[in-house]
Amino acid sequence: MLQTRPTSGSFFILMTKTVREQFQLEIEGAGLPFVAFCIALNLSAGQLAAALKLPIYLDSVGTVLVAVLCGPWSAISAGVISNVLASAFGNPAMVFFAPVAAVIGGFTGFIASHGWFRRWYIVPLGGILQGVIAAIASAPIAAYLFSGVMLAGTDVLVLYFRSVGNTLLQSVFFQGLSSDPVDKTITYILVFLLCRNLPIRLLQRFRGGNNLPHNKAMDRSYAL
Amino acid sequence: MRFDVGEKLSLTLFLLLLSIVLPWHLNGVLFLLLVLFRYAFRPFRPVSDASRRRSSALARYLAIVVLLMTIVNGLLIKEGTLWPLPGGFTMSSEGVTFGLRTGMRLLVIAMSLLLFFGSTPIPRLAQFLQSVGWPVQLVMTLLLTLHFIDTVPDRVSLIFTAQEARGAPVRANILARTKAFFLILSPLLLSGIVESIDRSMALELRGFHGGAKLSFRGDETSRGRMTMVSMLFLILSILCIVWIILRWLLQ
Repeated sequence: MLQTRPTSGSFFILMTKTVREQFQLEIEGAGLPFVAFCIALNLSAGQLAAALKLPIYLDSVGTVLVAVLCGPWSAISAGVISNVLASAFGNPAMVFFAPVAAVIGGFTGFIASHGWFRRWYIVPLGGILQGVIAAIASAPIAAYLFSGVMLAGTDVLVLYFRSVGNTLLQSVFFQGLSSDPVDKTITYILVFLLCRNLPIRLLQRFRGGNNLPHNKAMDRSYAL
Repeated sequence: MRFDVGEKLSLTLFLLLLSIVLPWHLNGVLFLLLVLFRYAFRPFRPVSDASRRRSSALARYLAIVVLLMTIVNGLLIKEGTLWPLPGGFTMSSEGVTFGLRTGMRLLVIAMSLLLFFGSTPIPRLAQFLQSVGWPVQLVMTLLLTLHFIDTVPDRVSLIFTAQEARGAPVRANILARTKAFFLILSPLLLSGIVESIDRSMALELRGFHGGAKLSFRGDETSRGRMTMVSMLFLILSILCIVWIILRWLLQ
């Protein structure tokens, strides 16, 4: 599989050259296997949250990690591939939410490159904002394609909002607003704490290593 | 009869769009046909025992969920004709219709995707994507993900057991359990990064970053050209989209 042959001209290209170059820059070094690891993490984090009986999804931890450590384009790819594989391995409806995963990856990568992960007090704000954006992005898909039924516990919330007189789109949006900001804020704080505890010599392997605060204590403890 | 990955993909797209166009009772018929289709046509049979078990379990689970969804919607939504039930409850016609419409659509969507993913190994999908012009890095990511999907759950369960043995509060209150999540994720991330560095070095040493295409064993589906069957399903899909837009505009 790893034998190579010369590149031939592609029939149709899904990315423009600039985006392709940007993506290649982001996954230089350890980036490419790390993106693959984070996709697997996205698929397993839900299983871990269920094992710990936590009432949250935490299924975008991997996407947010890639966005912070690599960049927005690789995070968009990680989000989309995660959703496609989640469809293949258990929840077929997930493939339709690939655009939402792309929005999560793109937005997190954008704010991470603007230094939102360097100060602890801005991180929850980013999470709340991300939750609202995710709710806005997912509401039309959930409402028009699945009539608000996502085969999850949150379906009860949609039913409740419908039974008090809201339209379907409003109900799905309110359900998203009530669960997504909490989920994304916890995800953001978790990723911030995880990355903050990484030694600088590991962070330097990634293009987005500068998106994080420099933890001198960790450097000393990991020094060879 | 042979179906390559491109043809299966176009058929899946057509079935997904058809589920939006058809009324609920026809979606029910289509779902039953797809269940039969899975056993009747060799190209759509599950590729492994694990895949067969997973898809059968999921189909049963979805059928139960759809039944529950119909009942709950019928009980909670108070629109249309109300049918009295024992115990003072009522079942609304609108709620039942809504539940059936959504449920049957979900069943067809799930079954179409199960047909595709159950019968198409991911490496063959990656091979097809490369043949139609996907960047080789994305194809490599997809293939590497398969390795991690196999190993990460085992690693999670190993770290979970180890942290539990060391006294991590995995069964305490919700805040303590959230902290335990962090205690498990932290070593997992560290090991993931270390493995990523090792794998990137191995890839680089084998010349992967030259940007050349990957070659696959048994290169049979890497043609990347559109067949008549794909074309037919794509035309039908476009017709479905036109129908959906027209129906939306005329409403």
